[in-house]
Amino acid sequence: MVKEKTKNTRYKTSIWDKMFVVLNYVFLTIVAFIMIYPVINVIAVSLSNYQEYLKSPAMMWPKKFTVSAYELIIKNDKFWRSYINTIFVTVVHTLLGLATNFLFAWPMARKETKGKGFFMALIIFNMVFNAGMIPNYLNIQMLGLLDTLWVLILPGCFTAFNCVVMMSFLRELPYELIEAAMVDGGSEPYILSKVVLPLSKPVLASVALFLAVGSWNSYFSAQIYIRDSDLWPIALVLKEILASATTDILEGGMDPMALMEAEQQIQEKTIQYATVVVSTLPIMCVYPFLQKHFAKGVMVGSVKG
Amino acid sequence: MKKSKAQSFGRHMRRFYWLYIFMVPGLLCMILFKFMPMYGLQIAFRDYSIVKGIWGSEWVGLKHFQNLFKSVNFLRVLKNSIVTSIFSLLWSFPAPIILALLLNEMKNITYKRTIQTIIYLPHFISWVIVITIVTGLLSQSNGIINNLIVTFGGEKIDFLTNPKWFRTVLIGTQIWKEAGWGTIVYMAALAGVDVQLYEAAMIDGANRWQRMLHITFPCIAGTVAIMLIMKMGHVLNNGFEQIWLLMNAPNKTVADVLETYSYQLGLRQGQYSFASAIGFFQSLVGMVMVFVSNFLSRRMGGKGLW
Repeated sequence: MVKEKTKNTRYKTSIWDKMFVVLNYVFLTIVAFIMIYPVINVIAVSLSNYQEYLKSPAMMWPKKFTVSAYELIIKNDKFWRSYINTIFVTVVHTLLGLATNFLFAWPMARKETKGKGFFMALIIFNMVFNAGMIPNYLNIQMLGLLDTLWVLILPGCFTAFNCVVMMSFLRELPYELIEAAMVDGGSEPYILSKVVLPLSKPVLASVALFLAVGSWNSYFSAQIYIRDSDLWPIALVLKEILASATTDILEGGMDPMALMEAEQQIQEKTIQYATVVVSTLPIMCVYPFLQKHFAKGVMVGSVKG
Repeated sequence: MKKSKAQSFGRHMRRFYWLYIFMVPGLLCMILFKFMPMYGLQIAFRDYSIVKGIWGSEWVGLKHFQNLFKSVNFLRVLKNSIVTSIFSLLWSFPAPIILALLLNEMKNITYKRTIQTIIYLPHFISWVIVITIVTGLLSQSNGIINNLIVTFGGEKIDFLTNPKWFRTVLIGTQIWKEAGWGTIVYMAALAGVDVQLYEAAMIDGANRWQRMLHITFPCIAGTVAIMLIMKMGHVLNNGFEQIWLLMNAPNKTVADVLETYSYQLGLRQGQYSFASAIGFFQSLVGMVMVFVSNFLSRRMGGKGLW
């Protein structure tokens, strides 16, 4: 918008101004490179012969291309089980979370609802207060959710942040549409599902993304609440793989014995990186499609919130 | 009068009862996972033992809180938490604001979008993976960073085990992962700034810096305030996942924060009451900080969370 204006009218641009523009482009390009480089490096290493990795780890393209690391992972039962667990948890958590937050946010965005002050206080309390790790653990134990996948699904379904994002979006919807539906005698569930829901796609997409990413990536709840390793999500399995490697790094000195170990560890490295790639793949596949939406959804939410 | 009020309430409910039914799942969620744990919070004031249960355990008042402030370990960990938060406030908090301001100055839309797409990406990578990548990059045996240092004639640095480097690595990874994503909120605020303001300022001869200082800053101040209030609520919560993964025996002296400490004490060693007292203390401080900073923000004429 500014661009158009500057074309038509000539404003004084100093030499500093031009330098700033150039430096700005250079700086942001470097930032973007730093953000993307490790990701590319990981993909390249995972597809390379590990002897090549030993020679020079800083690659952006696979050297002596091999998929042996991937073959190893695909044959691993534990990996597949955790993958399926994670998919199940993420899908159910996202759907339930969307429903819970949306159903709560809609009445909060309506003029007609009474006691909104009270409900808002509940939401704020939800945002600022946390009973702590141990009371939460005892509560989960009391509810009988320990060592079940539900412990990863249910507790995070309602979150104040997601609800507030949805509320601010829904408040902006043209009220005439809802009034018209009400005059036509549409019931509340009808208005919600046939009028409001189709208009809410952007905010649903962004909240879905928040929920899905959170659930896909988190290992903390699983570490606390789930002992049975058959129920572990991928993040926790990855963490165990990583944990074994860090102790190797700690113990590795420079004597020949350690060097041999280091070689083994680096072979582990290609496998680790391959696991990393496979476990991030679904999120990376969804990301470009949702990006459009979440920028829009969050924007509306944050400008007003 | 009273009767008619009740009548109108009845009429309202008959007409709009669905709105309240919609809220039931959310309320249920809050009750089950937010309010019910408060019942277990009382073990912070009791000597909890698994055999006796919550009600059977002896009531000891503030004993655990008194012990907390006598414990050298706790005070060290508390200091770590606060110092880590201050560092994060100084570096991780301004990073997305600066990035957003710079992005906002970019006029080439396609290039800007590409950069945005790239810098949002790390947010979607889990901590486990980020730390795997970081340990790979910083490792002494074959890490890219240490290889670079050696190429330029330096000596290898033990980034991952040296306590002196711990906070730098921690904050650095935090910025790498979240700074790009953090710009979204500020970009939204910047998009809301009236373009006419800039045009008027340009006609008046204001340069880039003056425009930023007098138009852009005041326009995003509200958003910054809200983000800051939310951040203040987390002064004693440094994020378990990241620190737990970066922590190892040599750097534990600076790495251990309240969350990792209470996890080890409570769930690993079974000191439930003591760990609950730590959690309660964290929550209380967080709440007070949110209320105080919210009050201050509103007092100074800015926006608040509510």
